[in-house]
Amino acid sequence: MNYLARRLARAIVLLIAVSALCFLFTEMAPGSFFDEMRLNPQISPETIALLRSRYGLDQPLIVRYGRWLKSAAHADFGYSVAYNLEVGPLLRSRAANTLLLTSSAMLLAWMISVPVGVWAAARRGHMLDSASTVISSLLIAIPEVVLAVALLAIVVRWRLFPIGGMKSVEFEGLPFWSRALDLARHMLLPMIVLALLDSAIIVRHIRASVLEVLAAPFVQATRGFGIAPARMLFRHLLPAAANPAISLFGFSLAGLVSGSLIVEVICGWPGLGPLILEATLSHDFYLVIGGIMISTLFITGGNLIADVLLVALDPRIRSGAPDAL
Amino acid sequence: MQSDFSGREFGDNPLLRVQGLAKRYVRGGLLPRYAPVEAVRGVDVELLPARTLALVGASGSGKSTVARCVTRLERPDSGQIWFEGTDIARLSSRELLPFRPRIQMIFQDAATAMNPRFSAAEVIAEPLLIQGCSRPVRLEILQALMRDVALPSEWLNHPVMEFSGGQRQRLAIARALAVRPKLLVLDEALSGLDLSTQAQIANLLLHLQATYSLTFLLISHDLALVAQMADAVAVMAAGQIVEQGQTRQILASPTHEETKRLLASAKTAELNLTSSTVACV
Amino acid sequence: MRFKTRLLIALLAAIHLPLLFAGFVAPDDPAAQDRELPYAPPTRLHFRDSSGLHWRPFVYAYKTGPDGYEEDTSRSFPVHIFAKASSYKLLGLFASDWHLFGVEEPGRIALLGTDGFGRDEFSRVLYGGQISVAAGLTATLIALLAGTILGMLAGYYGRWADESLMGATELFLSLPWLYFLLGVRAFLPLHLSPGRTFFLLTCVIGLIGWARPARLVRGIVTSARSRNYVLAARGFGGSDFYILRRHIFPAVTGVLLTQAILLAPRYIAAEVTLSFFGLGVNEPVASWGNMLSTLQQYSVLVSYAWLLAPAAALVITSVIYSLLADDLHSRLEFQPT
Repeated sequence: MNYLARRLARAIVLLIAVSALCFLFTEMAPGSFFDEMRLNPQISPETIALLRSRYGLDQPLIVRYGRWLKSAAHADFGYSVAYNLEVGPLLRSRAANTLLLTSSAMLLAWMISVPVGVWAAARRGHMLDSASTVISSLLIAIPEVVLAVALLAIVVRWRLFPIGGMKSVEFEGLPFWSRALDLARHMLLPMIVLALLDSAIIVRHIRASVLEVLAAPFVQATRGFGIAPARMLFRHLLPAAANPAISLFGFSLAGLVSGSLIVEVICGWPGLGPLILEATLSHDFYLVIGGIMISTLFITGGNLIADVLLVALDPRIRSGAPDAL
Repeated sequence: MQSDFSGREFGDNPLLRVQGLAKRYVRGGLLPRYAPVEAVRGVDVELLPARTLALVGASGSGKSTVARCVTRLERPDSGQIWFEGTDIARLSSRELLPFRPRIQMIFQDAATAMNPRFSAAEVIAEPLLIQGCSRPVRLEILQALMRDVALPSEWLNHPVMEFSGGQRQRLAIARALAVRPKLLVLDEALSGLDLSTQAQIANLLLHLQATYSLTFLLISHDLALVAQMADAVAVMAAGQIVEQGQTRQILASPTHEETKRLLASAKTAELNLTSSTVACV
Repeated sequence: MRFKTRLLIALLAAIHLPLLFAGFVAPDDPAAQDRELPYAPPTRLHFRDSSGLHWRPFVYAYKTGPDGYEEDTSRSFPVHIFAKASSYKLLGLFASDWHLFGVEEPGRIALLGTDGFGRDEFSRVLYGGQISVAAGLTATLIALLAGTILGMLAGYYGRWADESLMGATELFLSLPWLYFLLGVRAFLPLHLSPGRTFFLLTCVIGLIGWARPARLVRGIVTSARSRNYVLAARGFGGSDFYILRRHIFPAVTGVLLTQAILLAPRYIAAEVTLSFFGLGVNEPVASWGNMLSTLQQYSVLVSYAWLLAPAAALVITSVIYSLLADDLHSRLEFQPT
């Protein structure tokens, strides 16, 4: 309990520190949204000054930060200058799209990787093992941008399924299942790209930890009892190999919001990624800060969950045994 | 560095006198998380020149801490450390510089006491390098030192990893001798060695002590070794000295519980109380 | 050194050298547009014509036909090694107009075709690679430099220096790096001169990545400083600087090397990503990133496959680095400590 409380406290401190850091950067910024507006001769200086004070941008940094913190506590994250909407709802809807995509991808990735990883470890040296090692190494080495563009090229070239956007034009008029199907078809490409990238890393880790467990003395001993392989797998191997997998799971959770930016932009999925990119290009800074905050929230949350799970599931850590961590 | 030492040459003024030494360790960084550990709580000892004082006790009794304080690898919290008439307990690093060469430490594990990437020559010459000795002088001294510790000088260019434990300990001794110390602190220096090597190194040390009028502060838990090497012994427990005096006397008729315990756990069969404890030649 | 390691290092050099000497290896000026020749497919090298087999390959000129580009077989242009063409500055210092290969005017040799402005893709890949790889390597240098200095200071002096470093690294490691990169980039002016953009870009990427090397270095330094040989050196009167230089730093070099090999491809990819989104190096300076961004139009992506060349180049570079990193990792694992 004590550990939990301390961990939580650290997470909160981290979030505050991140927000302070973000705000600090704006201070060092020579460019701003209004500089570009100023260049536009159609907008009078008075209008600009009015807008600035309305958005509170003429106050000193500390005041702005203070106001933002206060409103953040009320779940109000400021105002997007470009969209003329509140940041909160804007982020929310886009983040929901992102989460839909990334959680499906994560599910797919784990569903593929765990069996492949375990099998590769069990049949070490077999062709499947070598193949999976080579493929995962390749996938890890290839930058995300390239993979996304390459797969996009393939899909567009052979018109495999629709890309761009989330829904087809006829979406609203379709019955429920058709709508679900339509959504799924649009989501397929980005989901596959993300799942591939994640799988490469997950398979590696799972394979490594299962190998480690297989080499452990207690496993050898259990084998000597003539136990059935299936029982061996589920009751002995997987629990022992679970620790690194849990940390990895936590990291997967952590990246749910922030890990898909590139893929979203390239495949045209209307998630948080394209929003923040646009905001970046138009110096829409409350939006950018909001985006950073929400992704940091997920990252710290994911790490926290990973730590908590580890403590909860591994009795050795709880008792503070010397060889535990 | 030959001298016809006669044992009484420096009179009876102690080379080293420790008074009221105390040191605590606090673990944890900015926010101390653990209660401080009192390693040493008020220790008084004296070392006469060219003699050997042994500090014995179980692990955790504080003897290593005393050694580290004396060599100023740690800073004592309170107390005085009089070395040749000056209190070095609270001197700053700068003020300490002239004293550094005169007090040297030989560590327990020779392997960790030397940078594994160095060659034997680099290890031994390091103190000379730091002191700014020129190259030809260094080479000369290196040869002489290798002779002193009975190692062939052809081995100077070999990496440290190639030496055995006992040989590495010899290198450590050579290194310590390079700066001409007065006081040598042997912190369990022979504990990691097998018995025959131990005997060899012990004899080497005694020989060097005679040759160069060295004073030894021997930290050990091995009473047999103490019997062989030390003139006086101080027994420590829980950070304090519980008994001290001439080795012969203490080992023959111990008064404190701790001393009796230590004696009992030593191999009494090998404890030869009639062997002469070589203190001066 | 093992054969495999040598091979990988040789491959890495084989990739980087042409980039370094891009001016020499590239037959054309990367900025030279030819509006008559947009999206031309790669020039084919021929060794055989009506008069038989030749030593020297030759190419034909482009001719616009009913189905796109065709070869104009009326005139052949032999490929010369060490040809003289447009002038450039080798390594940015020496002016020269010697190129590794080329053809006579008005022939064009576009080994990887041309882009929408008729610029030679092969030359652009080389020059673009110069920018992207240089940005990545510089950023790596910055990250490692910052990380090493801070890690060494924190690890050596301990106490509050150490605690503040650990806190700061935890902060930076919790940041969504790409979002943060965008964020920092956003707050800087969008349109700067290419030189300043490059400088800014590398600083930003490098300064976000200092945290992990700092932690690793700090770990090594912390264990090294409590070693007895360090205490012994201090016992001889060695100064802090001497100890850091002679004992602590050599212990750190192994980690620095593996980190460098690990980070370089990531930072190159980071530059490519940023430029791809228009936040990095902009036209007319070529970078693999902004070359790939033209592919965001589906029509271009599908019809002109040769424009994926920068992607291929990036993949090859990343894969070699990755293999080298794995190799180093497995070698260092078996080192006697």
